[in-house]
Amino acid sequence: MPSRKDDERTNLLQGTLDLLILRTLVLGSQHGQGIARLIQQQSEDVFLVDHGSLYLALQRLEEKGWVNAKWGISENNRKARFYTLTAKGRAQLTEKTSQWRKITRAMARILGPEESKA
Amino acid sequence: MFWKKRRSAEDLREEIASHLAHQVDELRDRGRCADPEAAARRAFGNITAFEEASYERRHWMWLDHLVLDLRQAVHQLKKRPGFSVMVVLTLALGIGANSAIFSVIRAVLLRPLPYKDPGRLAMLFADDPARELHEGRTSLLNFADWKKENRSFEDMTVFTPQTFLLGTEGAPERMRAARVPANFWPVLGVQPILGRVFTADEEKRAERVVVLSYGLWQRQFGGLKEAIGASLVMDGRNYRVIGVMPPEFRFPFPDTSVWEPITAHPYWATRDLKAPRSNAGWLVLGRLKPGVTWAQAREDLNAITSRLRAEYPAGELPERAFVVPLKLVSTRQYQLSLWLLFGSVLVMLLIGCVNIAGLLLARGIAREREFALRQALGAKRTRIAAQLVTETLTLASCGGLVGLLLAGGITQLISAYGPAGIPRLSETQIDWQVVLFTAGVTICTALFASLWPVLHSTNRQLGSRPFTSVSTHRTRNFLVIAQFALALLLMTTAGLLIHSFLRVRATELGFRPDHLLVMRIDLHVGKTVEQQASYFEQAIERAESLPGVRSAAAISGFLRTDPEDSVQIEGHPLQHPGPCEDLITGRYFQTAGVRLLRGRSFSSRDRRGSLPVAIVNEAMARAYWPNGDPIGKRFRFKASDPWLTVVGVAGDMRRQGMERPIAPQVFLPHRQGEDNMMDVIVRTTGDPAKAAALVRGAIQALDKSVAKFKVSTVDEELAQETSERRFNTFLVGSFAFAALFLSAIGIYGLLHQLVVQRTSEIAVRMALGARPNAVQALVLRQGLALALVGALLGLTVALFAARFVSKLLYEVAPTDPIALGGSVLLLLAVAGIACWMPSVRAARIDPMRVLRQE
Repeated sequence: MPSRKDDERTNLLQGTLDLLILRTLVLGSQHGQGIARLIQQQSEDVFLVDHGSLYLALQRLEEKGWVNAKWGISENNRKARFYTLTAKGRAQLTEKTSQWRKITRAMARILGPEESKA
Repeated sequence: MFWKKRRSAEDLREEIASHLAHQVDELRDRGRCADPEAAARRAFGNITAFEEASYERRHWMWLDHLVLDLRQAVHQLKKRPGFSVMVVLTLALGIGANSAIFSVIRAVLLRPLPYKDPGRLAMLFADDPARELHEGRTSLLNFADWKKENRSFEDMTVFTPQTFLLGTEGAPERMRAARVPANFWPVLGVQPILGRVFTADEEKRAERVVVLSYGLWQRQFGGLKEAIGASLVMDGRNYRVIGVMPPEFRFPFPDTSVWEPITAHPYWATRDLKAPRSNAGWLVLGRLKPGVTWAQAREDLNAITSRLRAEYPAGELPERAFVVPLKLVSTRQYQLSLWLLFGSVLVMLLIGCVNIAGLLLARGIAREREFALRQALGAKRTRIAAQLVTETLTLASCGGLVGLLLAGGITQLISAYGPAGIPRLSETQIDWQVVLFTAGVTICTALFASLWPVLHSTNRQLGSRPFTSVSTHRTRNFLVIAQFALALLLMTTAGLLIHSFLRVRATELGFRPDHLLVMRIDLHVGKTVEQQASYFEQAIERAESLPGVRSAAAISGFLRTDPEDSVQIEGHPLQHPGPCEDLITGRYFQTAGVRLLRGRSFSSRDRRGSLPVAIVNEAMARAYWPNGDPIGKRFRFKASDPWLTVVGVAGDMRRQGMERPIAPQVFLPHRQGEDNMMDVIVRTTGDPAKAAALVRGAIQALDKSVAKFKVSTVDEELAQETSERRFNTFLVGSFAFAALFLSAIGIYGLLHQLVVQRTSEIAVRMALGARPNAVQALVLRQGLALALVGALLGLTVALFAARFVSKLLYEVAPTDPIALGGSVLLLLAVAGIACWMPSVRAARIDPMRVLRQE
């Protein structure tokens, strides 16, 4: 069983992942594998998205009503489940994004300019 | 809402497959990968774990766990059928007894009376402590003033019981009517199930209309609708049936057969008109105005009563009015004993619970490995606790179900054979509220019984042995002590009640109840005073001429007599209250078996016109002539009565109930008084029950116009009198016995387990030279010490608690040493027997074999 510490860590990651997914979906509906690919590409391969976690996150977002899902046909001519941002999701994205900006700015100020390795 | 969003596992799996396919496509396009399938799977992570995680998201896990736990519980219980049966039976006994007593309490005390808004109905009695008048009746004139002047009641109605003779030819039947005004119905707020009730106009016109009870309607008219408009012959007059009341409506008396307008019967109506203000024969019922409190109503009525008393000094009016909520009138006297029964069954259930907790703890030891294994496999403490509670709950539910069946049986027995005096006891039944109560008790029981095992199973460090630790033993010792304390509490209560019952049984009656028949004969109206007297003389003569009859006599009320309002001893002022007064005829003292201590008995010369004479009992002689011989002294009941001369003194006879002191009593010759209703008593040589039919036949043949009557033995009547006490004592005694039995099982279980656990220790002791006797004494001592501590604890509580039941005791103090000491001794004796068996087992341990096995 995961201890409480573990839970806190996943929570932090969850928030990040949720934001990334929402951001990706702004560009249009996408299936799970596509989302994973886009996040990886856009983050210049910094984030290595664990696909299992991605789908758990998608389920969570779907339950919260931030995204909709529908089965459709992908560009590869395969059946795929496409996720679309809802109005509620869009509002969340705006809010979460400004939150993140605030945090990163504050963190940057505290940590100071990037130092060269001593 | 949320169930819509739940997806099937199938859908999810499809999505994963689609994902993997896309991933493979992509990797293949990039062409850098040797095994794109494996790489795609690697990138996804643990698919099973993901599916499990999604499953937990989608489902109510506790429900899943519950199903699992239930399955596991059933499995566990099947594995140990002996244990399961033991627990189920213990619980069935405890829960069944609780449900049965609860259903009695519900029927008698809790269920609302079948009238409209019954909480605002009250009886209004006349009260006069100085004259020992409690809950007395009032006169019609007084009632009229109460009704007119009060400001607390919406409306007030009045009623009186009256017997009537039903039918014409042959022996008519004596039945009970209630004479009521037209507003009787709206005050109670009841409707007939058939026809209608009478109106104020009909009452005014003195129309002979009658409303039937459900019982009489069924019996007399076979429950046919045609009864409405038919005629009913009451006291030789035709009454028109206008309505039928529902079966549950039995107000004001349980045996009321008809309700007739106050004015309908010419004889009684004429008498009522002439009745003075002192003629108190009526009972008053009122409906309180909304918002008026009982205290306000009492104050209001008391003020009116005091004013009336001042206004009519010669009216012999009561000192005050006594307002009692209707609900309390009939049930007040049973509250204490019923709640005592409820307390008893609760204690019994608690003892059963403790037993089960002990058994579960003991089983915890056996299942220690199972729990450790489960915990090692990742089960959380709460899951193990939930499992334990589910197991107990499963057992308790079985116990509850069996208990409910048991309660059904018990309530049927109680409603059939319970004392008839307790109102609505016969309506005891298992209804949905009782079922709900049973369910609640079952759940509480399960939670309570699993409390300790759960605490012990969850409060553990990995690797420790929770169920064999010192704390478990301490808990079990504590449980056994608590059990004995509770059992003793119940036993002392039962002991006090049993002792009281024996005291009641041993009460000196002053007469010989064996070989004695009694029958109440009502000549009703229509016979002259001389005809009444000669009827009873002839009846006695007929009875005495029968074979097997030794003697016969008649008295106004053999086992029921009430004090007169006043008495005046010559040369003294009038005193309140007076002695009881009864007319007698025939060889009364000889038939009843009472000694005539001094003077003479009555003879045929004591008749109207001759010197008015009286025989008094010893209590009367002691009370009014303490320093001299009462023979020849004179007294009278009222200033307007002639003086009566005492010609004899008879022994004291307990005729007002076994538990009441003997009041002063006066006997007068029937020929010098007037009474149309008397108890004929017949002393037989053989079994009185066998002579009953013969005696009844002979007397009934005398005059066919006299109502049929019932003959019973005096022993039966006396048993009837003590039936409530017997009922109560029997039940509390049974519960105490069950509690003792359960406690014995508890201590046996504890010691047995202790011996099993300590087998090797005992074996070592014996190998080192301990003698079997010493080992046996060791075990016995341990068990008896627990029992003794429990008994002392229980005794302390009992001494405190007994005060609450002191009202139920008769000539027995709450600290009665016989009951208390006897209970302690019995408890220790039973504990000794229960401890004996494990101690013998300990003494028989063969050290060689045990140590070889180690």
